[in-house]
Amino acid sequence: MAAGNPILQIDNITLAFGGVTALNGISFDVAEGEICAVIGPNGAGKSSMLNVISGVYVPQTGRVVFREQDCTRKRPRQIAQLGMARTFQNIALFQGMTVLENILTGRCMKIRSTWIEQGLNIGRARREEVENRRAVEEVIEFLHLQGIRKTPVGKLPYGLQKRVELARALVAEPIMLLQDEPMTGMNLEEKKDMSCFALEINREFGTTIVLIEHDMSVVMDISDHVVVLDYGAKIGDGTPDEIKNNRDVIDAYLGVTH
Amino acid sequence: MDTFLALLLEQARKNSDLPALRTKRMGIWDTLTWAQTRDKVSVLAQLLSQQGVGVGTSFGVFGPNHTDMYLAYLAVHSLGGVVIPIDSNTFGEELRRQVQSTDVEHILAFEQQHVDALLECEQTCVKRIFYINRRGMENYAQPELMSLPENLEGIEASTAFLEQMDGQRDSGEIATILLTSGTGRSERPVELSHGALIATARSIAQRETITKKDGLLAYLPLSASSDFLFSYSLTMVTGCAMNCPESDDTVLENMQEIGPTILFGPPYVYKYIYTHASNRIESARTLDTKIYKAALRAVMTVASHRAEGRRGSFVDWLLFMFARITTFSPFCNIYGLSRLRLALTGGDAIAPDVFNFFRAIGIDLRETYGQVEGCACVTMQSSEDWNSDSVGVPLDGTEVRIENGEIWFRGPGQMKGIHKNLEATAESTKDGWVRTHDAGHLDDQGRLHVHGQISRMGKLNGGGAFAPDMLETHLRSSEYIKQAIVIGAGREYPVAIVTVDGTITRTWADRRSLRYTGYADLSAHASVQEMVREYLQKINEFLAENPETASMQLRRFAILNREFMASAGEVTPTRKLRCHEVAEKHRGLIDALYSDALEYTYTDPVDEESYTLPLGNV
Repeated sequence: MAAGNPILQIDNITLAFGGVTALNGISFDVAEGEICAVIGPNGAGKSSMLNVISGVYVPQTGRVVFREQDCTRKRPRQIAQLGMARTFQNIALFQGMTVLENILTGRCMKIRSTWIEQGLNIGRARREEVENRRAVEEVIEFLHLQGIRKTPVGKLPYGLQKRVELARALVAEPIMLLQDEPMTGMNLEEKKDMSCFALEINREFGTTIVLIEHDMSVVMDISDHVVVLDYGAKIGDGTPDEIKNNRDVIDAYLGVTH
Repeated sequence: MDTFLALLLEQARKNSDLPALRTKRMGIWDTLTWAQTRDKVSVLAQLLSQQGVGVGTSFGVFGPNHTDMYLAYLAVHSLGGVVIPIDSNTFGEELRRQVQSTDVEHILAFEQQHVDALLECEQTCVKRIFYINRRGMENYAQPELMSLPENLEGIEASTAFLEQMDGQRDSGEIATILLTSGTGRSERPVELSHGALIATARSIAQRETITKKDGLLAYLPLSASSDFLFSYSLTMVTGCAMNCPESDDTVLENMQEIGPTILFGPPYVYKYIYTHASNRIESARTLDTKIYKAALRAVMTVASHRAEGRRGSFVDWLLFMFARITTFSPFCNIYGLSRLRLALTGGDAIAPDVFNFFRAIGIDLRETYGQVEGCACVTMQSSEDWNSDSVGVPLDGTEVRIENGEIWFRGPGQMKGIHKNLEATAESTKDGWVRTHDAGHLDDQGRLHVHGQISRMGKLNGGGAFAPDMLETHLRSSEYIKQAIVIGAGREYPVAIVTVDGTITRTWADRRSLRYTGYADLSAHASVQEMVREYLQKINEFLAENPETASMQLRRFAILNREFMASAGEVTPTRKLRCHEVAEKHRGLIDALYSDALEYTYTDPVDEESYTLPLGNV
């Protein structure tokens, strides 16, 4: 997918919790249609960055501009309505509900009918139910989840739960997808599947993807653009090749001998 | 005329609005009626005809069990082409060999995965690759590729086209070339005619009165001769509905939804249900387990009476009926077996315990015997036959005879020959009879008993007879043992390599609070070894009862660190063990079993990790 205009602009973000500065004057752009990876050692501020973008944290200074709208002080729900969806580092699914039901919750943003219509199953409610189910089924097919459609999420292995979470984000038909450490704790096979899915989502739907990742090999293979954070500061920003040769990054993160 | 096209036109005329093919997509069962099927086939046939598919063209069909695949069968058969079904999981050298040995020129691939596998194959005579699913295919520019959905647009359905084709078809035309499984000998491409397949299917349908009201599930790999006969041919002959599962992982779930009335499955399918049920019971509450076990005892008692031809007491019968109604009727419902009126198995010997179990709970399970050379079915048991020893009597019009202990057959279902190999054809046939390379005998009621593959039988060094197939069937009777191979011809004593069933062994180990990290660790666990040893001792006791089999008692065994796998070339797509390949691959282990060693360390080529297997004395 060829990169286009910036869809997300991060401008001089500073975020502090009490005396701890999690993010210190971070700025970078994410172009439309690209896969952008945010990497960094533990405690670098990666997850905080994602939470600022999705509106969970409000930064002390700086601006987040998504689709030409200032989102810095918007609520997560309002940002989601602009076309942003995310997955979480610690799986945040409803453990007792089935895969199908969990994915359906990703459609709640699309529901326009009132609770009265839903209760009586008339008018828009009926039409929407069919529409929503179809959207869910498309994602189920896309991510090969047919075999576990009716399995309660709590019974699934970790790797599959991650995939269900991705499905829930995807079913909201996002313009931009945020993934928080999608591959942590996975085996090689699952990591490969997950990288393929990221590439396919990007190619098929043109979704911009911002992902936080620990596993360098995966990141370098699939992303168009890499941002490196360390102790809340940005120390690298460029293509995977540029990052590989960036002295600061090597020192801070890759640990290659000098 | 007995051709698949004639059958299609007839079904579309007589049963136009009845369901023909169903497939589950997006969570919904999509149904094609016979009339719709005919129209779709006519469109596809016109396109294929334009692309040069004609009489005798080898047309590969490569993908999962999907309605579109079977529509392609029909379209190719309409044009007089030869369908070469290829299992969805084939790739690399094996795919190249299959495509090459059957001279595939045109091939239909289901999706990207299959196209990729084909593009990697070099030096084949494939001229054109059609594909159905466009996902991920945007950047493929190879000139031989052609997307079906796009090219089918604008072609009008035309029954006249099919009728015109019908006039040119002949029942002697080759319908398909199927590869023999190669479990005993090397794989050979076998040519089967329209007439042979239809005659075999018709003979089964008439014997069991299978009609348009029946339904079946097409879930076996396309390349299996049993799928060609029991799914495709049987549907075409009877007009019953064929249902295609959504994916490989959903077969059990889809079976429950559909509730087929006819089911063919190789022994592993029945074993799977049997083990799956045992596993659930193992992990159920104590009271439930007790009720289930009591019910099972009640039905098994009557089943064993019937197998021995005795009449049991009235109380036994009462308990039997009570257990069936209260316990096994819900059981069948859970597994989608409650509408089942005919369950067939074949391709390999079924373990007696598994057979008895299904018979006892009220499933009319029958053993069949057949080979690719005989359209997958030559003999079939009758409903009254409660003994898993025999594989029943020949189908109507088919004859079986024994010559020097070897089974030969002839009948309307026999093959046309081995593809492009007159020498092999001559070797396999004599005066119109086809040889099976299997040993067996006919009993006084004309029922056939199969002893095993001749090439595997032999003598022990001490002079005692050795029949590994029989021993393996006994080993597989245990729900904990999934696969087994017995070696011993020309050796001092028989030894066995077994693999344990991961799911049920895990449940078993968890109940005993055993500590293990994974499958390999569990299979090497001393308690698991002990459990398998106890089971082998029981088999030995049974063997010792009969002087003929006393010398066949197993002395040593090993449990492998993984299951035998299709991807390692150790089992066929229908999960039959390829004994020669397995023996060749695990030569080191076998040698260790014939030494005094107590363990064997080797590097498994599959994952290149080193494993130490304990070697047990029985």
